[in-house]
Amino acid sequence: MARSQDLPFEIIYLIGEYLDRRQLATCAFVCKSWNTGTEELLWSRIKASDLRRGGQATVDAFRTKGRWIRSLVYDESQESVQRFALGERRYPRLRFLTIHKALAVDSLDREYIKSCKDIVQKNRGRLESLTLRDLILPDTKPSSGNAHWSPLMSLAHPTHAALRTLRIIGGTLPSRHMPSFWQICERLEVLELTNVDFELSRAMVPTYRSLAKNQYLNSLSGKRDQDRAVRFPKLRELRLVESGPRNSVAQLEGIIRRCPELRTLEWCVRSYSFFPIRRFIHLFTADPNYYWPGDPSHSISLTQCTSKTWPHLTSISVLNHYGYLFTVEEYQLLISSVQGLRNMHMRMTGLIDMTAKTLITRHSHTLREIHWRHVAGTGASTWLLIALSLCPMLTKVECMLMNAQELIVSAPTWVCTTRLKEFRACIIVNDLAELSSRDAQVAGLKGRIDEEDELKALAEQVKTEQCWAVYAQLAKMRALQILDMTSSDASTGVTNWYHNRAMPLSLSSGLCQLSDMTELKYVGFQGHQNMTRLEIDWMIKHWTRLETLEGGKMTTNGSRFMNGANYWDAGLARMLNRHGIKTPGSQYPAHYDAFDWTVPDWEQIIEVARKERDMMGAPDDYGQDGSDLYTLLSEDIFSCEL
Amino acid sequence: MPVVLTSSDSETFTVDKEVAERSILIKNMIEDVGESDSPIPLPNVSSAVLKKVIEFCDHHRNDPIQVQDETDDPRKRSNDIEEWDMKFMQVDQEMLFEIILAANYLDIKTLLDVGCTTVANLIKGKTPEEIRKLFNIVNDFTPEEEAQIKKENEWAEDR
Repeated sequence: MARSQDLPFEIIYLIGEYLDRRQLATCAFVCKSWNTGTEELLWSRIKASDLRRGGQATVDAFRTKGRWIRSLVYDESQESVQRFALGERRYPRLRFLTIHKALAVDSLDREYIKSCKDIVQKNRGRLESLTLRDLILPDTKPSSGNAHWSPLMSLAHPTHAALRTLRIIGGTLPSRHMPSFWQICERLEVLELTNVDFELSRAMVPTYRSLAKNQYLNSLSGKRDQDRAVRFPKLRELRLVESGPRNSVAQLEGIIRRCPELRTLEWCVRSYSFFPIRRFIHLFTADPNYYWPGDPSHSISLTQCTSKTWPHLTSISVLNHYGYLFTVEEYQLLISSVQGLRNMHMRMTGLIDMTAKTLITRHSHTLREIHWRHVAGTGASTWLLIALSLCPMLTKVECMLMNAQELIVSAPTWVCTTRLKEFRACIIVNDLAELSSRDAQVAGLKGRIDEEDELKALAEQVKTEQCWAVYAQLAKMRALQILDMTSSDASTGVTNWYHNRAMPLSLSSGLCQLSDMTELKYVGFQGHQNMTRLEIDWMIKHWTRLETLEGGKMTTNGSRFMNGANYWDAGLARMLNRHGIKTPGSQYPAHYDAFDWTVPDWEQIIEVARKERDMMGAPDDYGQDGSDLYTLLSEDIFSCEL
Repeated sequence: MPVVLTSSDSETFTVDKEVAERSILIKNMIEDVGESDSPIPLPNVSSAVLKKVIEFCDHHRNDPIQVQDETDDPRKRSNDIEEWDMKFMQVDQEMLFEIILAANYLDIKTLLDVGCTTVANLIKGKTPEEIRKLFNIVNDFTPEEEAQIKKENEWAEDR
């Protein structure tokens, strides 16, 4: 008979892969073999600040168990860095390193910088991925005796040949560090630059005069044109977000164009940049109709290309903050010129049926993301629902508005439910209350309170049923990390109308069905919600990975704008904050401490919510034939006679 | 061409090659031996377990082989199981562990994943004592050892 105690370590390890750190720490207490089986996972991924909680026993354990570290984060916790002597040893399994505040200047703690430097040098040859946050490098040569360290110059050394991924988030790269940077780039497969300032050298972006001179010299010496040099021979993934030279043509020609092996491109230009749409399309498709010789004021020569610059590129995201960039025809041309498209995220002037159909049918087996957030109207959501039923690989979808009834009707045919990680759409429930009172007025019912109230009650019932059915479908998306039910950015002008028809975040409207969605990190909501203590406690209890709860009248998220503050009960927001859940962009009215901090009885609350629901008379299988019910009800309202 | 498998209790099963080759162990064996009619012995798997394993492989015969990207986190994010797999795994605990061991021995990654996810889902939210009770495990720590582990792992226990 097999008992779990007899399971070999490697199986316990495999089971542990599905547990979070707290659960792993619990499993370590079960018995000796479980302790051994989970030890490696427990110590494999460490942030310096986590260790701060450990006492002397942890310091002692670290001496032997530190050998399991695979991923290490230096997050400015100088105390842990020193107490655990993090930089003073080699970690045989270390592959991923993140350094926060990688400032090569004296202002920061010298010990911290020295430790960062040591760990990079002691583990060279192992590091595969390095992330540097807030990297500030000095422009001038350091004077002796100061705690200067340039990670880029260290990494350029050939012993760091294993490095495949480099991410720099925030910082500046002065020109004297650029040769090292380019040297590193030749080995990279993944490069991310977010808010990093640097300039391309003259050799990268030649003026006409220097280009002519170079061409003349090269033709004499038989050298290749320096301008055409491939800087990123192995790069498969590039994320260039508001980084590099201000001129976006220079970004395109000097960086993006030089990555022939690119599979994934995410390019976000600064909002004030001129954007070379035609040039991008020309490089992407090699279509001669889009060749544009360039503007002499850019000092960049734009050569014509005869073949696709990025033959393997199948995931493309090109954005800036303002306005529409691509016409729908250009979008159509781009999606038609790729085989096996995974993602094409860009703003276009609109969405027409043909384009949506091309995208969904031609790439149905490879399509992973659909971003139609900025497309106004509900036409896009209908196509999105078709895509959910047709494209099995989809992981991220977004559109502006989605009709609850359409969602409920299409839900049984969805093929990617368990794969979805991001779902962004403002789900609109049918506001029959509004409809019924208007119709009642038209029919001359105004004043005859009985019928009107009846209709309203009926409408309210339909709304509750719809909410339960929508939440039932959302509950099936158990891999979901981002559930964003806010509507759109400010540029499309969302009115109060949507706020009144947003999904209510209340347990008695069916929210309680989402209790198994433990992967959720972000939840955004729309409209004025009357959340109570019950909802907040419930969220903290069930959504254990939740980091942000955001909503209100309008919200800010990424490129979207805030319009009006999110009014919260301060006590509720503070409860969330105390559990590490952020409530950004919120304002709190004055009733601060009228708050009950005791823990409620869960079973009872859910029971009450269910009873309330049952009293409303919503059938459990509403999702199956909800459409009929809806039609029946509408007929009821429209055929209402005196 | 069908393949014949023999379980530890000498029962034989005839399955399609395509189904049998969901197991990397069997696939390699077939490649090494070449086309042959002689049955493949599986001394570590009983007939009851083998029957379940074949049922699983048959249902997943057309699944694409999954390639997992390496990330900085060795822990897998998703604890999700398809509905069919969930029903398939509704067996008693002894069988569940037998299936996991067989999947490990036969090298069937998808079955191993589904098995481990099922166990992980059982463990979630439970205390060490509840886990011991659930899986019939004897606590072999002395109180001193337990206190020691508590101190060592103190840093990991918070959210």
